[in-house]
Amino acid sequence: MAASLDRRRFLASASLALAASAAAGPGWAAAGGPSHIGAARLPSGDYALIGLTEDGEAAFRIPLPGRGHAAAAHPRRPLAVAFARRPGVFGLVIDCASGQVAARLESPEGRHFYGHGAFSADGRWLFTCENAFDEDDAGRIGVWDADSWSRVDEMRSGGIGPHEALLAGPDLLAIANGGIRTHPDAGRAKLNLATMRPNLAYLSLTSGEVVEAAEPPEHLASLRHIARRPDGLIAAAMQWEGEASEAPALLALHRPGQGALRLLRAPGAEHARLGGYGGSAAFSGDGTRAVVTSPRGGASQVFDAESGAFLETLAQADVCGAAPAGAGLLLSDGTGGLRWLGAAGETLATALMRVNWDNHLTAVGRAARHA
Amino acid sequence: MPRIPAAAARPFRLNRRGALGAFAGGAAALALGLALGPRSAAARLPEDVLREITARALDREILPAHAALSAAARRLAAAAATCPVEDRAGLDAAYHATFDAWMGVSHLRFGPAEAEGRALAIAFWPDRKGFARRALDGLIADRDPAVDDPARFHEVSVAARGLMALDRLLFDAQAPDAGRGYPCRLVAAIGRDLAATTAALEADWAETHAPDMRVAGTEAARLYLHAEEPVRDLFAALLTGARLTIDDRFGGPLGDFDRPRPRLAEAWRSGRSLRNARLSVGALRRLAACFAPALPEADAADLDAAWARAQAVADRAPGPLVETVRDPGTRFAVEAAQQALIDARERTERLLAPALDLSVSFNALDGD
Repeated sequence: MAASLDRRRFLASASLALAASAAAGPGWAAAGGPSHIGAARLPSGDYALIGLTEDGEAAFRIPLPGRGHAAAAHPRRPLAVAFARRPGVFGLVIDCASGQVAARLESPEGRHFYGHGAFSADGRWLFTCENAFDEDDAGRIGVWDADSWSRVDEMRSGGIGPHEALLAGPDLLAIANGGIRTHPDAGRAKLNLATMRPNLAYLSLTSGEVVEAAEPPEHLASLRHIARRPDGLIAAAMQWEGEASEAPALLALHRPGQGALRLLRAPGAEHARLGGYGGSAAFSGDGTRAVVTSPRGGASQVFDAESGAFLETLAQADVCGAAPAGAGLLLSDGTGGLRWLGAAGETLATALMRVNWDNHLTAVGRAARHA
Repeated sequence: MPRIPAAAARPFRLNRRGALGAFAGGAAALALGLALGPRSAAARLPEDVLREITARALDREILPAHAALSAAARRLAAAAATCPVEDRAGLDAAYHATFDAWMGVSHLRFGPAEAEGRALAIAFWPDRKGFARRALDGLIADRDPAVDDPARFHEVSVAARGLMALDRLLFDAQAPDAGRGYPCRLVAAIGRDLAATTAALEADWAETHAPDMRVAGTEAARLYLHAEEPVRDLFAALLTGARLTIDDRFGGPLGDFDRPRPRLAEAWRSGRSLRNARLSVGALRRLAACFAPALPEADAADLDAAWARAQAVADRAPGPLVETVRDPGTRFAVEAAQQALIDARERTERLLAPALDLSVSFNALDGD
């Protein structure tokens, strides 16, 4: 394929893109100024992408054709890309100001989406996490032009099962390679648990090569969701594929170039409250805390992002979504609950919407720049 | 939706470990999430009743059934150990005995069965796209030496391991002779791997998961904080197991009236399809009976009557399933067995879900 040509085009325009994109079109204010977006199931059984304001109001509610997983938010324009639940083959680019579908992304032959994606800092490119299910070496990161929505390139993700990716620096993409081989012909069956090797990989967007990869010490810890603090520190949540009562740490911190993952776990029996399953990771808005959520455990655990010390467990049934909100955090759950935490971890407010929040929350606009 | 002051916050309820494995197809887990519906406002059952349900399930069903499975798989491994095969009839009988034992636990897909993907490594099914065939053809074409090294064989695709792989290798008319040469070594490797996997499964149940379920809600609780949580896992296993038999063991081969799909029947090569469905109904009935302490006597009798009928109708259906579903004159008997199981499942849900105060597990069941 013409990957080398495409990559040159992609790289040549990356440096020029900032000015052009910043000038174009309306911002997130045009979509009601949401601080977060998330996918949800409605009481009718239909699915929707919902924008939430800082006050817990619905800024918008846009129908989705099926169950979502996570949404990627454009840094400036009020655009969200909602990916179908794994193993989905399409993503919808939704104009959250008009509620219209601006474009439909289809994964190429031999690929499917994992449910997460990320925009470049300038909003010029969209990176999508993809399973290259008939190839043995690694997953793929698809590169899409965020104006024409054409696919311009793809890069190896550095591991099997690239579940989530985010910008770790101006030209560095952090990738959570969950390590689990699946094939759409076998549904979501896990085909390689005996040999899985998850990692947190960093992919250079200038060379298209993985420049670093940190593996969890235990290979059954499927590292598949990540978050970034503005200074570049990455938090990673892991799902343990062994017996739940033997689960090791499910939250890790890492900085590109720093070597091994730093593992965070609650002491003694408290750790078991996560049920062996880390669903999302997030930093608080002020960056002092890192959280891991567990829908299986019905609990989140909060840690000091500097010392790594365990701070507290917060019980909340089916909690999974987590994102920075103000100086603190916002947590969402499958029973419709929302919980805002302050900088000191105190619960500022809760709300109950008559929806089932799907797995992940995404901070947008100003809230995202805090992150 | 306005914010609610913290003081008025709704009490967040614990709902640990929906813990359903994402098995091949995956749809059943999601379907269960939807089927549980909105939470009820029923009163909680006393903890001693919840513990009694858990204890019955462990002592009457789960622990003995897993011990039987690992013993059967040990005998299978021994029968398959030599190449060329010395006693082919003995090997076939050991395969059938192991599959029979697997049907006693195949619906228990949480905890130790989910860990390390064991349930799929024991029986990779449903497999509508022929994943097992591709995986086995690949090993045979390459004469992959992983068959001679248990550690390496443990790492090959789950689709090439377990009982469904043996169904192809030992009983497919097109398969090469499994009694000698490479296919024989492959059968031996699968036997050894099954013995190891089922032994680990039995050990995890006996040494960690069963004790964890028993101490739920006590000072010693680790995995299950409340006494109701293991009961929820058992209930989810009961409903999901029933759905798998309804949709796949019966529904797969039934297909449509104009287009039955006999090749979707479970283990049809070894002629086990109907036997598996019957054994599954029996195992589900025995698990359902463990919930009797949650119900008034009349309801418990009503529940068991529904399961007894599902068992009787399944036992009456004529085999082999692959032929019965193609014959308009006998097909109805399979449809009747499927419907009786649907009825039993619905009665289980209607009687037990309110008693157990179930809530939705939208994300916990998704597992992604």
